[in-house]
Amino acid sequence: MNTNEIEILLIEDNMNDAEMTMRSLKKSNVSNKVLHLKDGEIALEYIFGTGQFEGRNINHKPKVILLDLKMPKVDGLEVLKKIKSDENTKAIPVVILTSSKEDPDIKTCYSLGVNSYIVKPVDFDGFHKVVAELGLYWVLTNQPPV
Amino acid sequence: MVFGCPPSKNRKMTHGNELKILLVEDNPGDALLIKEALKESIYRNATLILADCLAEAKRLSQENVVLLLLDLGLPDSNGLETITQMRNYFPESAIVILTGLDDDEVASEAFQQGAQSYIHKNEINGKVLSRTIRFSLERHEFIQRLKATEKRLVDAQAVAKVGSWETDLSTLKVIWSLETYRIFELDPSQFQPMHTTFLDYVHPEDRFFVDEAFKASFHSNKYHSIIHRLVTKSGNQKWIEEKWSVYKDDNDNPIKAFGTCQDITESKKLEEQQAMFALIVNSSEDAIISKNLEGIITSWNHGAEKQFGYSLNEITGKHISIIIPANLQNEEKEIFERIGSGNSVDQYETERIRKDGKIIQVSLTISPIRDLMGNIIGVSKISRDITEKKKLEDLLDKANRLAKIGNWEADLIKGTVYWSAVTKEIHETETGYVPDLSQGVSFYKEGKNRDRITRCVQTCIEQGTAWEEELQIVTAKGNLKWIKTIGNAEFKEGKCIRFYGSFQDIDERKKAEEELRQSELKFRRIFDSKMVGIIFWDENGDISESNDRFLEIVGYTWQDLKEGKLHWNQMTPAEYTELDQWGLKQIELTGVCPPIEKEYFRKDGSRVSILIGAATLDKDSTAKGVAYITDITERKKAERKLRESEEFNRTILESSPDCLKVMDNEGRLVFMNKNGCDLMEVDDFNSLKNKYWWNVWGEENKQIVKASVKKSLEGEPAHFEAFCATAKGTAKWWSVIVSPVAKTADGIEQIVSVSRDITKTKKLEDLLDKTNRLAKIGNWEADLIKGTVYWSAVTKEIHETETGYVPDLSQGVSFYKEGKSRDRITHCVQACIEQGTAWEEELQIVTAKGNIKWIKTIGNAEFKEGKCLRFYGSFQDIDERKEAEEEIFKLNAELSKSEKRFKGLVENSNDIIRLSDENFKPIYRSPNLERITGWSNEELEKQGDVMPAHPEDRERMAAFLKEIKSNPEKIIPFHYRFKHKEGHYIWAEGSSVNMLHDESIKGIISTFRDVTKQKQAEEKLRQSEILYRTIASSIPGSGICLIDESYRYFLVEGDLLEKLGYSRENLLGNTIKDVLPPEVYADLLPDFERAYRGEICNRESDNGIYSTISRFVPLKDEHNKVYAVMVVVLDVTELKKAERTIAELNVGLEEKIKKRTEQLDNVNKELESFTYSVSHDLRAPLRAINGYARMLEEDYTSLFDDNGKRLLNIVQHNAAKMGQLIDDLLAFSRLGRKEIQKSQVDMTALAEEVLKEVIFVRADTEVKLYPLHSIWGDSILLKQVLVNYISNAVKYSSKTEKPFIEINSTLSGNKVIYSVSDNGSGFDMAYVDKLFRVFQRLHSNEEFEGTGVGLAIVDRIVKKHEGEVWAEGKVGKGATFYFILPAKSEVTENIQTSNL
Repeated sequence: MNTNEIEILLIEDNMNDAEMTMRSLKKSNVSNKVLHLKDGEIALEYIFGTGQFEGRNINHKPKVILLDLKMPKVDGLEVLKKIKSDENTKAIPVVILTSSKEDPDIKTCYSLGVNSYIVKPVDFDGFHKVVAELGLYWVLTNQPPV
Repeated sequence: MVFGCPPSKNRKMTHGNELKILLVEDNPGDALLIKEALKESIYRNATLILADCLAEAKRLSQENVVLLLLDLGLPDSNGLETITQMRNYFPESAIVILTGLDDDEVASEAFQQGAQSYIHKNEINGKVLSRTIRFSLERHEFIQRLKATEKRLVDAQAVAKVGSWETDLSTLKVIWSLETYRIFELDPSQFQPMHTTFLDYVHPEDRFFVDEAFKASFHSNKYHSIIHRLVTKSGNQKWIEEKWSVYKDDNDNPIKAFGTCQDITESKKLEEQQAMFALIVNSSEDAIISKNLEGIITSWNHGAEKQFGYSLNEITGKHISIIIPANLQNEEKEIFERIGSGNSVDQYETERIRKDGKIIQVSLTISPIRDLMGNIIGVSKISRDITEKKKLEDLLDKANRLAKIGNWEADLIKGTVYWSAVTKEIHETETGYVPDLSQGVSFYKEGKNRDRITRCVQTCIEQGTAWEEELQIVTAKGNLKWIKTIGNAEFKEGKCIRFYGSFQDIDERKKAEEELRQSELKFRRIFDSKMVGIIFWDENGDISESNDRFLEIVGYTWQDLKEGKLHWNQMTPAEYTELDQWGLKQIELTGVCPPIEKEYFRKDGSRVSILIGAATLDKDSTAKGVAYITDITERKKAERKLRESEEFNRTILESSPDCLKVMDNEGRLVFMNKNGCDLMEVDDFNSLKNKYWWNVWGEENKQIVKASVKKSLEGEPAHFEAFCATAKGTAKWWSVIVSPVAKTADGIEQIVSVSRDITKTKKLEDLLDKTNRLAKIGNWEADLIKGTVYWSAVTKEIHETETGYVPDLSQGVSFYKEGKSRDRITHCVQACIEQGTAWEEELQIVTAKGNIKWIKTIGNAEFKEGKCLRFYGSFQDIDERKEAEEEIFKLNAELSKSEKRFKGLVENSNDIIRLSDENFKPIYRSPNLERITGWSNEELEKQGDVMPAHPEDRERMAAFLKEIKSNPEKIIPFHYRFKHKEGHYIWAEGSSVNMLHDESIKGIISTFRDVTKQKQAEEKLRQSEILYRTIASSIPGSGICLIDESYRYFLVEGDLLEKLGYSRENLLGNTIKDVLPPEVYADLLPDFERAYRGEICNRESDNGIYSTISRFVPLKDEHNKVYAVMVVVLDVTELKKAERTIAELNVGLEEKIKKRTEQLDNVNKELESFTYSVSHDLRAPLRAINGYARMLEEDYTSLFDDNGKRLLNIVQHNAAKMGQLIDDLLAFSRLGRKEIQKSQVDMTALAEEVLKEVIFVRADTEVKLYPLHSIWGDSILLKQVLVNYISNAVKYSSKTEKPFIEINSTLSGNKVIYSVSDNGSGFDMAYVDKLFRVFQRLHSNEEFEGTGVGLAIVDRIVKKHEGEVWAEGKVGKGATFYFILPAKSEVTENIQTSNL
């Protein structure tokens, strides 16, 4: 896939969740421009055009980043922190995907400037609905700051 | 000799006696039998060797045995195996089997194994043996010969790599030659080829066509040939060429095919390589062309097509000249000539023309093509398009231009000179200019330059010497320029044909160099000068170079420098190391080290003071930097001297007892010495510095000070005396001398003042003056030389003249009263002047105001060389004394008058005055005796005039009277009690003096007064003292002191004081300052002072053994005046100890609580993160279960039957339920930690909200919500309670026909009971205890779904609100759930009250 066409960046280490998310996005017809990355480290490489994404045009930004919090290597909080503390990337909407709304990190996320967060429901219908709406909203509806 | 066989080795042997026969037989009997038979045979002369076992036979294998007689049953071998072994040992011998059996099968097998014949042992006789041996030998020889023939065939096939084969076309059996086997890499002993099995080894792709070709050949008479691949067992792929023909019988039926096969893999490989080379040639970007000797193009690769635009077909057969531009046609001829002589042409750069007419730059590499005999048959040409390269060259040219490098070339053959554009530019010629050789040289500047280049060119042409010179030219425009010229020659056959080179404008560089050289020269001059020492140094401390001056400064020699003995760091005394480091740092930062003063060790160890400044050099330089050193020893010496003298002056200044000040030329203070500051009581001179001096003096002195400053600034010293307070207000007299200093061309820069404290002198003077004035003594002085007279102020006062009055000698005398006084003084003065007689007279003067006064005049003279210079004296007003004397005189005259006066004085006194005779009989009693004692004089006389003393005092009084009598004139005090007339006693205090001897008095005088009141007060005090003392001594561990106004102990009591180290004896009568240790005194004094001011103060102290509390209590008299201070000291050691223990206990307790709290916090935190991560980790798999089940459902639903769908549904349902369970559990555990946030909660509204928004209530359910009491609580939590209760009610009533729910609340005391009832399934009260516990359920999941956490949550929330929960129910009859909460908290009451 041409990385310059990515509209949704899904950062998720749980392959099951990722698959379900992708499926839900697909059902909303936004999945063709989704890039799924498996941990925070590679996500940062993508976002900042380093490592294996060396040379990527970082001026092309995804319309939304769906970010899981609990991840190996570089966790979601850190990814969020990096995105939101860089002038170039801080305008990218970031939606946190979390297992529980009791997550103690949610507060930190908001203080770091997260745009939204969604709790991954155990109930698949709910999950599907949330993800699909999310994808539609951020990709189709939301007007990013120019 | 039956067979007429060709001669052979074996054959020969059969005839001779050398025939060797080996008998292998283990049975000695049989062996003997055979021996005998042999003797009877024609081979009787043969040598018979016997072996009884296989091993023995093997041992004999080297013997030249022709025939073996072999028994098959040997001890170490048996049967046919024996034959095989023997064949191995004796490959060329014939073998005859000896067999005991008449067994044809064995015999047949034996032949197979290579035996030639066999004999039955029981048939053996000479005849049979003869026949058998002969037959065997012959057969054996025949076989040997056949084998040899076969072997030759095999060898031939192997050499030609040609194998042969024949196929029986009826059976398709195939016979292969050994070489065929070899080609197929098969073992003849293991592979029996058939046509079909042969095909197995043919490459699969070729198999079909091989089979077809073979079969097709049956019906043809032709000679057949095919090439195919085969794949050997080991995987080798080989190319094979098969050739065969088919033989037919008379009926034209094919019978056999005979053929050969040949391994042609090598040649196939060569072919492939060839193809590959061709491919490479064709794909090359370079054009590769070949042509024959006529120049006709014979090959033309793809590169050539691209480069020249002609296709292969177009160009083949054309002449090469087609691609050569017209002007270069000759070139080809030359090339051919060179090639013809066998040479190659390498990278020859020229131009060629394309089909489209475009000229391209090419580089040609041309080689001859030879045939196998080495004859040149053509030319190959590789042409490379270098148009791009040329462009690059052009670029280079431009670069050269930038670098101002030009080229030139001189062709000696043609006599032409080429200059590149840059070269022309350098020479500033026109672009079209073409020089000849001599012109080129003529540009060089006449003289040295031109000579030099001429010589260079000459030697270059003659000997090929290259040159490289920097010289000056004069350009076409007449400018002088530095250039660098490089030249080289090309020789051919020992002769220079051309020379060429480059030409570079280096004028700027040269100029820069020249500048550098000049500055270096300048530098060198400095370097060589004797003024400054210069060194080159590096960071390692080395000095690599220096000039003479430096060596001179440090006392080293050139030799030392050369030997590397100079190291600046070693020459630097240790105390300058830091300074050096600073300097290096400066150099690092700025490249320069500002001059620093330091010292170096000279070679002889002495020190030299230097001033050094350093700087870095450029990087190219070997030394790090350069430094300039100046010897400043002399300056330092001067400085030291200056400093010493300064020090000396300063010492004087500082030690001067006077106040020395330096002021600038405007009178501002610049300096004041230490003593001066002390005298002036100035703490810090800076506070005065730069102030105008006169401002220090106070308003009254300002003018005089200013005037003196002015005077001294004009060059005159000034002096004045003035009174001025110090900075701290001490009044002092000063004698001040102000002097100018350091008069320079600009005038006076500074002035100095010396102020001497003359306060003491002044005081003495003042005292004298005052004394004089009191005594009315004045001074005077008369200078006979000058004729002046001085009168002191008092003298003037006595004379009542004006203060400004200055008398002369005659005037002084004229004040004396005419007559006796004036005569007398005239006489005295005369005698004094003439004879030096001093005088002392009491005379009368008439003052200026006309008053007559008695004075005492004293005079004396000062003589020098027998002559009176001056006389002086004093002058005392004795007028009053004279008057008094006169008064006394008058008094005597009026004695009675005086007595009266005296009497009046006595009688009006408050005191009693009594005059008595020697027997204490009263002569006089002052009238107030009666007033005080009540007794009249008469009454006392009646009583015999004895003052009725207190009985207790009588004895004391008698002793007193006695003492008085015996001590005349001594005033002796007394105090006694006398009886008042009214009966009470009064205290009288007074004194008596015995004046009996005094004629004018002749009596004992007593004066006394009534002191009863004081005495009574004293008594009171005494009694209270006793009281204190009693109290103090009766309290253990206490002490009481009374201290009077003078801080003197007058009462000390209590055991504590002794414990504290004081004794009553030490304290009593002494002041606190005397007895207390100084530090204690200083510490306590403020408390005492406060107490004396009337305050009560307390103090706690601790000496390490005793802790005490002291209380300072002022004791006040009736006028509220403090007359004493009482100090009460209490020992509180035990108390303090107890306090400390409690404090320590408290601290321990707090710490323990803190620790426990921390532990609890930690546990809570751990628990929190545990529950969180558990819930997180539990959810992920659940989500996957649910999600994937759902995907399964969505994508494969058509594949499931109903049961399958049901099962899938169960999976999803349970996963969802598990999720719910986790949420509930989390909520429950969170409740344990959450702080409740209370506010006033409208429970009715809350319940409505729950019913409308949170819970789904079926339409057929009747809900009755009564208005509920509002409550003080956490609204979120209470909402949860209602949610759980109401949803339970909805759930459990859902199966009832007419569901009914009622929500109500009642007030019970100060608590509110809330209830939620339903008419649902109810529960058994036996299990009511379980209701509110986690995971405890009374209904199965099939009946009612649930996690068993909801009520536990309710319980927790309500308990947090200090309430309680319970429930009532009956199976099938519904249930009521309650919770009770405190109605109002104290806080709400408070708030409400305050709102009122």
